[in-house]
Amino acid sequence: MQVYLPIAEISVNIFAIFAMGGAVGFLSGLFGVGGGFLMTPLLIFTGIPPTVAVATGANQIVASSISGALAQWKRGNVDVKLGTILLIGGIVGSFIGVELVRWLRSIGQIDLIISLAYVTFLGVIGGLMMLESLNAMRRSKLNITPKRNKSRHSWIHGLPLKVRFHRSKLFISALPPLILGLLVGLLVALMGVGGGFIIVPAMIYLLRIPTNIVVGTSLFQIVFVTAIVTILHSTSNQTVDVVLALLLMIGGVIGAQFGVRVGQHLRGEQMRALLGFMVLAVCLRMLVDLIIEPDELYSVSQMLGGF
Amino acid sequence: MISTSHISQYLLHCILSIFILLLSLFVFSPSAEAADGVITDLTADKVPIEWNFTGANIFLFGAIEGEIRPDNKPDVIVVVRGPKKGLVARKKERTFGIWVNKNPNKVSSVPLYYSVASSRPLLDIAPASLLDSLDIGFPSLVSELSRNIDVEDSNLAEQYSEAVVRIMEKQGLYKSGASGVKIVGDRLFQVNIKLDANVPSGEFFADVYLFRGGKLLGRRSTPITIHKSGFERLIYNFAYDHPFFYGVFAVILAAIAGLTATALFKQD
Repeated sequence: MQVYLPIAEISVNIFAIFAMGGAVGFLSGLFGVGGGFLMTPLLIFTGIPPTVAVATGANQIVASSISGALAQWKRGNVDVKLGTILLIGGIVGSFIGVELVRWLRSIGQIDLIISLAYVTFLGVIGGLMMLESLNAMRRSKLNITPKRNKSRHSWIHGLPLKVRFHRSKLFISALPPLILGLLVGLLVALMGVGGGFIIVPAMIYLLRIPTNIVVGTSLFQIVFVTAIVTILHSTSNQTVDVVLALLLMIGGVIGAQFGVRVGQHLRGEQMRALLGFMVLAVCLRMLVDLIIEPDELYSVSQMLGGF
Repeated sequence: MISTSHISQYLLHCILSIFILLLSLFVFSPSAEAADGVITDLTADKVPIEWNFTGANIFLFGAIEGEIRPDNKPDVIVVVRGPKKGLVARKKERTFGIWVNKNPNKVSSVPLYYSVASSRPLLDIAPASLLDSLDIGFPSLVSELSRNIDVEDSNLAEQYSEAVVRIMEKQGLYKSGASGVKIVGDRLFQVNIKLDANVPSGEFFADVYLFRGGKLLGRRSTPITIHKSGFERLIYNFAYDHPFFYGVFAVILAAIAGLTATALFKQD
């Protein structure tokens, strides 16, 4: 059955979109990741305009992360002070990102920049995941326990504007979370991802925040930043397709439920290697599309303000 | 004897001729100016784009008026033109190993839909110069678009407009068919106008051209409106007329969907 998407302005198979939402939801449930970094490329491969894929992806993440954020909030795992600083950075980053998208769109380079951003991030993250899980598998064979870097003092602690974060039991500068938030806001606006893959490792390894607080606080920031990006993209670019978003949400939540159940029966390292492999495959596909000579060298786009 | 029968035959012929002349005056005189023309009708002059829109077929029916000579039958060309819009065409170049959009050129007033159907191959119907002056066929479309590109080099303009036509054709927005017009009997004809799912909304015109012996005898233009309707229209207008509130609505919808789903699965 076909459904016409009012903003993307194309007709798509409703079951194909459900299946895509379901598959990405399944993977995110299985691996405990957001899945935005797989959803947006899949939408682009389907023929959805990249700008619509990004903005609609951000909208869909609001749905997939709000329940988790609320549950974390109830458990007291949100450091509101830290979350607010991340959010301030996130709002600034979102504004910059959305305006950047608008400008790049008017000069006809947005599709390229979205692809390049994905190739870069998917390449780095997929590569790290593969290495990490291969190392972990080797270690578990050799029975070596990983070394922990106990040093709690790094360059981060030398920065000014120190703030005490009671919930995280930290006394650090407000600048790193502010910049981190800004970077994440930029990525949400440009790539339609939640940004968990950046913010979580950065908070754990760079800021050394307790893991439970990291999960709660990052979800708190993701819900708000994706919501703001959705509104900003609607306002500046009119690229949020609620029909597409709704179809993806329905597929996504059902898929995620199955993913969580299956995930409980699988082993961590192998799964991480599998996810890393998939991320690299998507990265490679996008890279190939950029490198091979296209059949059609010309392209046309609507004339938008800036030209 | 021979002469009388000849005269009587001549007289009969004259009387018959006058009778036919009178009859023809009586029958055709009110529309004498449209002696060679076409009358047409469409199966639909309004096409709504709704949530389950996958494209549409419109049939255009017509009748040829005026004299039909079996040795010199008329030809019909039907051109459907969609709304026009300015586009930017770019050519990719390899830069640091990747293909990057470069060399942008504005092409003003590009028809977003163009289909041409004819009863015979276009150049068998009329000379290229006449087709060009009427903007009929892809070659004349290319030269029309070339004039709408503001560059010095006419070869470059032609390359760009050829590319625009090629891309639009690949997207199913430009169509051509040398046997698209089916002539039934001598006077009746029909065309199937195909609109794909990606057809833009706006005012379209179906122009019917009647040719005989390489000359234009008549033409007729019929408007077709393609518009988003119902739910599609509601969403589209909301997104473009009130973009901020549309964004807020999208967020609220997502929040409700997310929370509802969690509540549903918890009860299991």
